[in-house]
Formats: sequence, structure tokens, C-alpha cells
Amino acid sequence: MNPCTLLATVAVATLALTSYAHAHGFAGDHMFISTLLIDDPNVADEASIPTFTALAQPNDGDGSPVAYGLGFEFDKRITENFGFAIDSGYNWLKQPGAKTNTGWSNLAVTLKYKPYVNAEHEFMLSVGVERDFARTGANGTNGAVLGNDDSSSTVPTIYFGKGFGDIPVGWLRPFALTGELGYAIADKKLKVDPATNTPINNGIANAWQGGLSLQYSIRYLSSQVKDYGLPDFVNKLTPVVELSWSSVASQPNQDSTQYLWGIGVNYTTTGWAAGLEMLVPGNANTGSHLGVIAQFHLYFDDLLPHSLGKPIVEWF
Amino acid sequence: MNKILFLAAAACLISPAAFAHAFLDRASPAVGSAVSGSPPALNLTYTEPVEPLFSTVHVTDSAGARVDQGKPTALDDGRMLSVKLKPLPPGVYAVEWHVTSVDTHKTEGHFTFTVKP
Repeated sequence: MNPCTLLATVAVATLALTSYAHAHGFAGDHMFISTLLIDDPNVADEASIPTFTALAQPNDGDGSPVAYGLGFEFDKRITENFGFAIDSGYNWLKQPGAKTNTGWSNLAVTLKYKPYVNAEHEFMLSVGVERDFARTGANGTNGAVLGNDDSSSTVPTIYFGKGFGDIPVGWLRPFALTGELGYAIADKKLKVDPATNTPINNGIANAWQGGLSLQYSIRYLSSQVKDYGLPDFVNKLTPVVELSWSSVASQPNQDSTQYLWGIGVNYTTTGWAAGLEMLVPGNANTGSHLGVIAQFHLYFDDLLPHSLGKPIVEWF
Repeated sequence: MNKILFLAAAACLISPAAFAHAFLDRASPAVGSAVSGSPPALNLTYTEPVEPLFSTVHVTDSAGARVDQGKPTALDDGRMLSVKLKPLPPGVYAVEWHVTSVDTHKTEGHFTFTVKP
């Protein structure tokens, strides 16, 4: 090998070997899965295309409208631990005896930074700011029916993930808890007529929003605790329970506290994942019947490790 | 030289992914198992090929003393790492591995196995 070729080989090999650490959501031995109702704590190169949702809405006396959605999200790292996400989706609201409303969700863009990972204790912490852009989806009366806000908002959010690997009880170690907590600050605050309590502008109230997920990694059980000789398909499963929550945080307001549970399973390979959960409304304000959510998820760091799967700063 | 660098970098950017994160598929002795007699080696099989030069496997006894011998060697087209073991008296042994798959993704893990009296 001549010196030029050797130098080029060493340069490329060094670049490649220093590029990636844990683009999947690893904190030490634990990998946090991509959850469906809440955002996971990792900053990664991935996409959810699509996330399908069906949930009967609160009964308004004339029967329960059913909301269907096809959500799309794209996440991209700019540096190893800093990235952005863009998400939107198309929605259908079928109402008994009425025309079906359809339209796009408002566009949301999130900047996210992962400043801390403790491998020994399987802990990950991230912070982010989500910006929801009003009138980028369906608006007017149709948008209001579909649940699109008519005022933009900014949501500082904190995310975490904690694996239970440091618990000295073997069968508990595959558990992990992830969560997020955000505060949505409206650009235009809601105003109401004090006499009738009806809105007199198109503002919205500030709100708390967050959620938790409890996961049990069969792969972790088989590769870190005890190998029971389970089939490969089973080793890729992660049963999961999620809870998402939102609650108004300023007066006046027209919204109510909502809780939504998701109970299901995630099948995770190195390049993609699929999740399926039953949706259970936590109160009457959230929904009237069981629903379903399903997601197909791509991990670009494994599918396209030399292009879309690595941080933008390493493209040049 | 610029041409070589350009071609190497271009190949790095556009080549399709052949491999991904390496997860531990199985181990011998098996994860969490109890075996009779001292195993001569520890074999770790991964879901993807790994780079032995950028991978480590440490086996320690209950006192924390290393009982592995030499560097791990790659078998089965890089999907298996094998490390020789010293004669192991009965006891619990801890395995700690860190591997880099051939596309540079890093994974790690820990487990124990027991040598029965």
C-alpha cells in the first residue's frame, strides 16, 4: 500500500470509528425504545412513518365522534447530542350524522439536547423546546373541530430515561422508566366574556403536559440477566405501558385535564421498530371508548450509518 | 491523494448499511446459567459482526480478579468473540463486554454465570 492510500485509509477509518457512540437510545446496557404517546429521551436520527391513531372522543350527547390520525415525525441530529424534530399529521374526525372533518395538524418543531448520560446507572437526561406553529395545518372552524390551536405556543420540556439495571433483583433489572414534562406557553392568551364565560378571542391557555412510560425489555432479560432460550422474535419484544397527560395552567381556560393510557408492546430490531398499543382514556374528558395506536419507526443510524444516520456536522 | 481521499469519503457517505448495532444474541456459558466444571473459554455471539480490536471482554471472579486470558478473538465472520479462561473454581463470575460493530456502533453489557461445585 502506498503512503497516500495508507493515509487515506487511516483518515477515513479514524473518522468512521470516532463518529458514532450510541445513536440508539442507550444508557449503558439499557436501550430505551421509541414510545408512541410520549417522546423518548434520546436525540437520534429516526422517523416515525406513520403513527396511526383511532380514538373515540368524549360523548357530546349525539354519539361519540371518532378521531383518526396519521402522524409523521422526522428526527435529525445536528451534532452527536443536539438535534431537531419535525412532526405533523393528517386527521379525520367522523361525527355521527354529520360530515367528516379532515385536515392537517399544526406543524411542530422541536430542538433537543442530551447533556447527560450515566452509563453505570442507565440514566439519560435531555432538554428541549418545542414550537407549535398555529395555522400551519387546518384552521378556522375546521381546524378548531380537529383540535388545532389558533395560537402558537412554545413548550420547554425536560426528558429522562432510567433503566433499573442497578437494582439487585434480577427480574426487575429489565424495567426502565422514561418520561417528559413540559410547560406550554401560549403566544396569545385566551380571553373570555366574564358574564358568559365564552371566548372573545382565539387565544389559548398555558398548559402542563407530560407523560411516563414503563418498559420491560425482553432482550435485556435474555442478554443481561438470564437466557431462558426464548425465540429470537420474543427477545425483540418490549411490553410497555404509557401515560400521557395535559392540564391547563392558567386562567381563564376552556380545556380540561386529560389522561390517556397506552398499553401494548414494541418490537425492536436494529434498523426499525413497530409498536402497537391499546388506548385507554383515563377520564371522560379524554375519550369515551378504547382506541388504538400503531407506529412504524425507522432508525437511520443503523439503516444509513454513513449519510442520513449520522450528525449533520459530520457530513462535511 | 486528494482524489483518493475524495473517493474514500464518498464511499463512506453513500455505501448502503450492511450492519448495525451489535446486540448479544447468546453466550456460552449462557447468561445467568450454572455450569458443571470449568469452561475453557467464554464465547459471545452477536447479532452483527464486531471489531475485535475495538472490543473488550473481561471476566472476573467474586473478588474482582480477572480470570480471562489474552485478548478476545473473532470467529464466525466476526459475529463471535471468544476469550480463553483460566481454570475456574466453583463460584459466580461476572462478564463485562464492550463491542464496536463493524459500522462503528458501540454496545455494552454485563451478566454473570456460575460454576457449580
